[in-house]
Formats: sequence, structure tokens, C-alpha cells
Amino acid sequence: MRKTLFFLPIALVALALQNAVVARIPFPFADPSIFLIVILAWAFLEDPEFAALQGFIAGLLLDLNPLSVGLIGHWAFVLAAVCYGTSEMGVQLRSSRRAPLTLTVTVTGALLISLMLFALTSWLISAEQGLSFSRTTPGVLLWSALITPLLSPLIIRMSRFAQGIGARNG
Amino acid sequence: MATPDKSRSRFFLIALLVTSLIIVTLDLRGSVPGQTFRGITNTVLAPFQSFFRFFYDPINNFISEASNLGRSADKINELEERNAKLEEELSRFKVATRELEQLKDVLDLAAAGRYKSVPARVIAAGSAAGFSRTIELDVGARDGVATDMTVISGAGLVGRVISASESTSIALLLDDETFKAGIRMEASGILGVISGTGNSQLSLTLFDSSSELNAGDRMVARGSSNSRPFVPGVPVGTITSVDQNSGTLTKTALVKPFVNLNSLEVVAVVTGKVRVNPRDSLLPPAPKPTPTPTVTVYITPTPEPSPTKSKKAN
Repeated sequence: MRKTLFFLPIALVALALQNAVVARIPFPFADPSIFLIVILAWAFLEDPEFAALQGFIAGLLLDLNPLSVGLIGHWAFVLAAVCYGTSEMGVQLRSSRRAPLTLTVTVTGALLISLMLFALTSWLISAEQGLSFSRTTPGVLLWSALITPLLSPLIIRMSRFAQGIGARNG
Repeated sequence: MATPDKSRSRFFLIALLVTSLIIVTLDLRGSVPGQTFRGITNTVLAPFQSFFRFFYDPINNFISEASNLGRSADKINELEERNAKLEEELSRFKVATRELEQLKDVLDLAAAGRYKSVPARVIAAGSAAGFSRTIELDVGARDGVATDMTVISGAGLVGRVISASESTSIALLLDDETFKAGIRMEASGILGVISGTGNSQLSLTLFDSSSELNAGDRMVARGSSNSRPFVPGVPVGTITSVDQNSGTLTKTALVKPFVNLNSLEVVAVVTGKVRVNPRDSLLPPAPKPTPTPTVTVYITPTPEPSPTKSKKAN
């Protein structure tokens, strides 16, 4: 539980950084999504159960982001599922999951799956969000591949710290 | 076979997915007070965002300077020669000038249309990765801003306010996929609807398929009753291409908005009703057709062909 409490401010800071800085800079192709990179990298280093819960919370935060106009619960659904899958993959890889390259490849792959799942579920419930999927996704993935290695040392360090808290306090 | 621990975490995942589906369903039915919850998130995020806002201008300037670096070697030398203080002052000055220009433009437009408006600064933006094209403005209910008010910039229509808290408000940009607005074509007065496509171009639908549309035709907002969500006369955009498919009941075209939605910094929210419809008067002067150059060549015939030359020709 304490691990989740530690995760919440990190998600909030990542979202605030996304809203106030990243989304306002006209990046070529599409904006990088610092928020999704942080959430997915965190899930990759986490146990599946916590990853699913944290994905759900992060998704709900993204749904309730004052700047988003989609349905509430949509991102929560997508991120709970993708974070769980990402974490399962991390568990399979065991020790090598802390290598920056593995992290980058997995996060970028997970990001692609999240965006695809979001667009697909949008289409299923005929919500109008996510129609620009094909236009924005390549740019988002490119930026993810470039930014994840830069962020990975910080995320790995914070995740280790959180695991320590989890181990001490359960 | 799955271990008990694994099946427990799977059960937990399924519980979370079902919970989110229930929330989606409730929201689809309109039973979730979404704007209230988003207001709460806004309050929680506000201190973090105002902290990061200090970094926005330096980072933005750094990126725009960096993108210029590769363009010419002279520019690099020139940049190297500048000392840090001058550069900082310059970037501050640039930001101030840009904002001043945008503010001047938007106030000019508001004054020309006799719109009662409040100027606003863009303080955050929805992300392409989150599939929402929204901006957060630093004006709210205490400045007279309420939902369904028109947001304009110096060049024309930007969007409409979708929620307003005490000190901030959120506006939906006109290129968002959920955005729709009534328009009136310049001069002809034909009515239609534009909708966002998520791309840089908007889609225009005219209900009368027989009406004439050409690339380069311009349009203004038609205006709503009581001026909300749209005040009449705000320039919207120019047609770039017309769908020539004649078999349909409606006529469609692609429209390039007058406003560059990716570089918005200062905008204005129209807070009062509009008494006089400005019609087409707010549109920028029509571009003059470029004259086709004509070349006239005068040839003076030689008086007499010389006999020797004619022989050679034979």
C-alpha cells in the first residue's frame, strides 16, 4: 500500500510536467508522452498485482486530467491491462529488466499496445477520441525510444527505493 | 498451472478491469459528475503545474534556438559570441514581444467585432498522446468566464470553453475530433458545419450539395443564439480542397484554420453577447490574385533578304 502511496506523487508530477511543459512545446511529429513512459516503465519494474493497481490509478488520473475530454474509466481500463502485461513480462525477464535497452524496448512496445488498445476500445464504444491514432502514434513511439533511456536511470532508482519501502513495510 | 499467487493477481486484474468498465458505463450514462472530478484533479495538479511553468519559457526558447543551430555556420558563431546574460535578456524579450504581438492582435480583433472579451494566457495543453486537443487558460469564473464561451486569437476562432473553475478554464480547440461549429461562407452566406478531424485541417459540410465551393473561399462563425457557444463573425479558415463527389446530398471540403493552434500563447475569451453581427468585416483582406506575366516581343523584319543567303538556303 505504501508503495502505491509513493507512486501517486510521481504520477502527479509526471502529469503536471506533461501538461505544463511537454504538451506546449511544438515537438516535430507528435508530443512525447512523459506520463505514459513513466507509468509503463514503473509497471515493468513492479510486481503484476501492484502494476495493475498503479496502472488503474494512473489511468484514472489521466481520465480525470482537466485537459482530457474522453470517457472516465477508459484510460484506467487500458493502463490496468497493459501495466499488468508489462509487469508479467518484467517478471519473466527477472534481473535483465533493469537494463536500459530492455526497458526502452518494452516501454516503447507497451506504449504502442496502450495506444492501439485505446484506439480499438474507442472504436468499439464509438467514442470520437483516438481517431488520430495513426497520425500521432509513430511520433509518440519515436520520442519514447529517445526519451526512455534518458529517464530510465531515474525511474530505476526511484523504483528500487519504492521496492525498499515495500519490503520494509509490506 | 497457475500458482495461487498468480491466480490471485489475475483475479485482482479482472476486478480492476470490471471496475473501470463500470465507471465507463456510468460516464456514458452521464451519471458521473466528470467536471467536478476534473476540477478536483485540477486543484491537485495546479501547484505542480505552476512550478513547472517557470521552466517552460527557458526550455521552449532553448529548443527553438537549438533547432536554428544546424541551419548555418554563421548563426552558430554568432550564438557563441553572445554572452549568457545577453542571451537570457534576448529570450525574455522575445517571449514578451511575441506575447505582446499576440495580445495586440487578439484585442484588435475583439475591438473590430465589438466583442466584450478578457485576454488570457495559455498555461497548459492537452497532449496528442492523450488524444485531446485542449488548452488551459489563466482566466476563470472570477473573470466572467463560463462554459460555452468563444475563445479567439488575433487570427480568428480558437475553440470554446468546456469548463471553468474559479481562476482557470479549459477550452476545446477547433481541431479536436469532438469539435463542431456552424459557419457561414464569406459573401455567399451559405451555411455549413465544420468539425475537427484531429489533423491540422478541418472538415466542412454544406447541407446544400448544389452550392458552389472553391479552394480559397473563406468562412466566419455563424454565431449561436445568445452568442454562446459561438459569437458571429469570427474568422474560421480557408478552403484548401473541395470533395468533388457529386452523388451525395451534402458537399464537403477541407479547411485550413486561420489560427496556428500549435503556437497559441495569448488568446481572449468573449464574455459578452454580441449586439451587432460583424458579418464578413473581420476577415483579413482577401489575397490579391497574382497577375499572370505576359511578354510581348516585337520583331522588326529585315528589309531585304540578301541574295547570297537565299542561295545558301537553297
